[in-house]
Amino acid sequence: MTTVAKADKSRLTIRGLVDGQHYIVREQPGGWFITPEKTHRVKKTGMSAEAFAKLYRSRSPLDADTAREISANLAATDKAK
Amino acid sequence: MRILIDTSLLVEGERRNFDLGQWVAAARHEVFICDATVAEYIAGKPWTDSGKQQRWQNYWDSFVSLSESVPLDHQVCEKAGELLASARRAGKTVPLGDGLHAAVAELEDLTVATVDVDHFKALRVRAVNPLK
Repeated sequence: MTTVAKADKSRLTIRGLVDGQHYIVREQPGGWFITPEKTHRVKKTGMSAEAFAKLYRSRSPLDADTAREISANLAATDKAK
Repeated sequence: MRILIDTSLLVEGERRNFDLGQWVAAARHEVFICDATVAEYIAGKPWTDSGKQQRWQNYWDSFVSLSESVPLDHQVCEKAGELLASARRAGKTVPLGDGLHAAVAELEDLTVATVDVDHFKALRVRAVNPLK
C-alpha cells in the first residue's frame, strides 16, 4: 500500500515505483488496481527439424519391454498417495 | 510448428516403433524438450532387470541427455501452478509433470506433442498426438 499525490496536468504520482518498469492498471469498482507487468520472456529457439532428426537417428533405441516399464513406473509415480 | 515433445510420446513412440525423427523432419517442426521430461525419464528408470537398465541408460546417453532442455524456472513453476489449479477447479486433475510441460508450452508458444492430449486440453494448452 502506498499513497498517491496529484501532480500537475492531472497526473498522479505514486511513490515506490521503479523507473522504466511497466505497470498494468486495472479498473476496479471504486478505483484502480496497479500491478507490475510480468517480466517479458524472450522466446527460446529450439532444435531444427534436421538437427533433431539426426540426433534421433543416432540414438540407442528402447525396446518395447523397457519402454513399457518406464511408462508403468511413471504412471505409478503420478498415482502416488 | 514449434513443438514440445513430452515424455509420454518419447517412450510410447519407442514402444510402438514410431519414427519420431521422420515425423519431425517431414513437418519441419522446431523441437523443444523441457526439464520436466528429464525428471520424468529418470523417475521411470527400470529397476528389476539389468538389461532394461542398460537400454534405459543407453537411450539417456545417446539422446535425452544430449537434447537441449528448457529449464523449469520460477515463471514456469508459477504458470504450472495456475494451470493445474484452473483445471482442478474445472473438475480435471492432471499430473504435475504435465502441468510443467503445459506451462513451458504456454510461455514459449509451443504445441505439446504427447500421447496424453486430454491432459493438455484440460490445461487449455495446444496438443497433438502424432501416434494417432
